[in-house]
Amino acid sequence: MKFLGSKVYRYPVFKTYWPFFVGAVATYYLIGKAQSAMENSEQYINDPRHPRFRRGEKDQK
Amino acid sequence: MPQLIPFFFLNQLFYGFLTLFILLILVSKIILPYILKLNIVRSIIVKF
Repeated sequence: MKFLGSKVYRYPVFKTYWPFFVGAVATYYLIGKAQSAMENSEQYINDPRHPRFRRGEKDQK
Repeated sequence: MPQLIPFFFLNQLFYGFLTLFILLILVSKIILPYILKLNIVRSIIVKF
C-alpha cells in the first residue's frame, strides 16, 4: 500500500502503545471533570460562553 | 488567553491528541521504516 508515493509498512501500533491510549482516555475524562468544576466556579459561572445559557438558564447573582 | 479558559480545555485536548495520534501513525508506519531501509541498504553497499 502506498501513501503519497511512499510505502506504508505494517506496524503493531496499538499493541505497542496501548498504555498511552489508556492514559489519554483517563486524561480526557479527568480534564473534563476539572473543566466542569472550573466552569461552575464563581469566576466563570456567568460567562456568556457557559453551556447552561444554551439550556435557557438565567444569570446567577 | 484562550488556552487558559476552561470552556476550551476539552476541545484543545481532543485536537492535540488527534494530532499526536496522526503523527504517531505517520512516523511509525512510513517515515522511520523509510530511514531504516536506507540505512540497511547503505550498510549492505558498504560491506560489498
